[in-house]
Amino acid sequence: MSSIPSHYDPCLEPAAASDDSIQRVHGRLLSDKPQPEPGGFAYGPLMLLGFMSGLILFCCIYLVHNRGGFDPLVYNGHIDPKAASGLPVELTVPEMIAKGQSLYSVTCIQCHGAAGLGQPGAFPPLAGSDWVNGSEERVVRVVLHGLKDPITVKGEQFTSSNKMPALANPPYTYKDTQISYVLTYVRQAFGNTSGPIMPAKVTEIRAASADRKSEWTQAELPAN
Amino acid sequence: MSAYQQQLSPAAPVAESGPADAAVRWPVLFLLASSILWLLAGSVLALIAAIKLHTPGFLADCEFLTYGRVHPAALNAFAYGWGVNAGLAVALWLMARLSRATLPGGGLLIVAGAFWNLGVKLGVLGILAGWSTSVPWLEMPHQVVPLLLVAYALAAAWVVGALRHGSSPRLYVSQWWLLVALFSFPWLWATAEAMLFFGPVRGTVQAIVAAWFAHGFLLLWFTPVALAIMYYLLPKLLGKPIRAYHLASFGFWAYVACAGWAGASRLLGAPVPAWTQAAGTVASLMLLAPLGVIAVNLFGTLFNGGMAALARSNVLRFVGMAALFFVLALLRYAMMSLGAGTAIQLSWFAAASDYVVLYGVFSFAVFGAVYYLMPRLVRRAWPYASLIHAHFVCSALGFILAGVALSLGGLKQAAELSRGVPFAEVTAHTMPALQLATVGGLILLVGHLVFAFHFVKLAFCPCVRARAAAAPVPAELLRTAPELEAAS
Repeated sequence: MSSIPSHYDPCLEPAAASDDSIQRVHGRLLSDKPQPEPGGFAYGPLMLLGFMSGLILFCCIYLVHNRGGFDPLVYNGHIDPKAASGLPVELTVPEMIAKGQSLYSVTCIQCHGAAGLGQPGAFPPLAGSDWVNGSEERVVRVVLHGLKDPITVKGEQFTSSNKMPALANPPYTYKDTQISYVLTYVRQAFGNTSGPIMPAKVTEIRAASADRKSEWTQAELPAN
Repeated sequence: MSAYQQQLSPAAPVAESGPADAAVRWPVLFLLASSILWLLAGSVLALIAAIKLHTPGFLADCEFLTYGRVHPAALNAFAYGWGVNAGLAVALWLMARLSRATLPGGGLLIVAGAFWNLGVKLGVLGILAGWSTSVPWLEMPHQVVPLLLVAYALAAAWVVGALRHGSSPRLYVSQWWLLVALFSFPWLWATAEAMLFFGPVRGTVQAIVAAWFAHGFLLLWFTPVALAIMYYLLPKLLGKPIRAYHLASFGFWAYVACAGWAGASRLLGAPVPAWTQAAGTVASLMLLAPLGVIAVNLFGTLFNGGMAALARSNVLRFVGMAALFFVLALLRYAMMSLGAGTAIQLSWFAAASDYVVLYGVFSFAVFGAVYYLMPRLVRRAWPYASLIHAHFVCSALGFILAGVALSLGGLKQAAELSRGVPFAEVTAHTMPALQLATVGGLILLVGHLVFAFHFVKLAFCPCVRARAAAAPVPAELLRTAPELEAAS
């Protein structure tokens, strides 16, 4: 306070420091950062660091939620234009195959195996099977409602008491889209080269055989 | 004139008002005088626009004064006329002082200032004549822009030259902020003009460029000039160093890095890519980090200096208000940037936030600087302390009244728009806020008239000058200012 004259003129406010000393003192302050007491903490920088870290964390989360895939055509990160249009979402065939593969690796792989070869005498193979690559109607029905032995696949007789379960029923309760994906996958995996089966086809067959309660037998499902 | 020369004779001691002030005296006086004329013109135009919002019949028969013309004319007169003139004036004075520069070429600066004012005059008249470009903050017809850019470059180059050729012992934080302002403004403005009018980009990008410019103009021209003033005047008047000064450079760099990106948050909910909006929000939020540092710097110093100083110093009151509004402005932008899915960006709240920067931060800081620097330029004290006080009361009262009215009205407006209340009803509900804003504008105009009168009285009034020639220079200007206290 001693630097300010006792008479303070509001019409000509006195300078309390010269420009030269302002620059000199601050220049020194820039290099001599205040050191905390030995054994003590400087709370200011700690709080600043905490505040900054919190801010950066929040901003990262915000950006991830609102980035809209960094797509120049997405104007709102929360609205999926396909879903918002009210129409069912149509997947491309590669997308169907990808979804089918993950379904296969959960449900089908236990009996039919990772390579689609089944187990001789117990579970029939899918690779090169005429059941898989043949009629769409027949294979969709098998998946929907299951299949009982005895059957013949690739010339081999299967006579065990194993059954193909009905995936339309609990505990599986596959939807039409899921059946379409898993079949589309199976029909091009393991060396198979058959075309995709669309969800609409599954819907149609499910409606046609809605009253079917038990597994199919080979006799009921002709090869065509 | 002769009186000045006598006082500047080499026999005079190098004192508080030294050769640096003398070198920029006439250019700064010229720029300040023209900026104050623009301040008055802008206030009158803004008042007309404000009245029209609730009384549409007011001056409705005059084509030049329809709302669509008078509102952008007011904004441009205020931003380019008052804002850039006054900003350049203060930047010149501050840089010359801090760099101990006595660069020649003051005459060239006056020529540059004259061309700048000619350009802004043509631009504002062009808007009133109906040639507005219709892009907010860039309404001046683009034909005048090259002239303005050349005039600006002449003046700004002088300031940068003053730094380059002066003998500043260490760069002070005010000098950093001045440099940012001086380089950002032409960069932002030339880029925006080029991308919008000279070689227009297509579609959505135009909206992004316009938002980037508007926000950049506010955060990278007006705010840095105001911060340079605050960082200088606080230690200058209090005799204490800036609190936690070692953090000031972090505050500076973090602010500069985020401010340019923050503009995209103006487009929240607009049909622009989602990631752009998200980036704008992130930048607006990240600005809170430098805000914290700068607030510690400024308020730490202010509280350290004692409230007694604030009570007796008019300059400190203006500067303190500016610091307060700076905090408020960045908090408001951060808050609005989180308002995705609301109509807040379309409400009066958003407009009021821009006015907080333009008036609350920038104008208050410049008023403080003018009250400090003018006596040192003309080597006379202000004639009336009561007029300085009256100006402060009018500015604070008028601005707070208008700002609070528009902010509360805007929040209500945004809430009702989001709820789906019919537009006509929402508009009718904003009426009280708009009427209060007009009252606030009227009080501001009174304050500005007081300021202008006082300025003329000090600088140009012949009777005062005749007496001044006989009167001795105040002792304060001849004494060597004391040392800054070393410890904070």
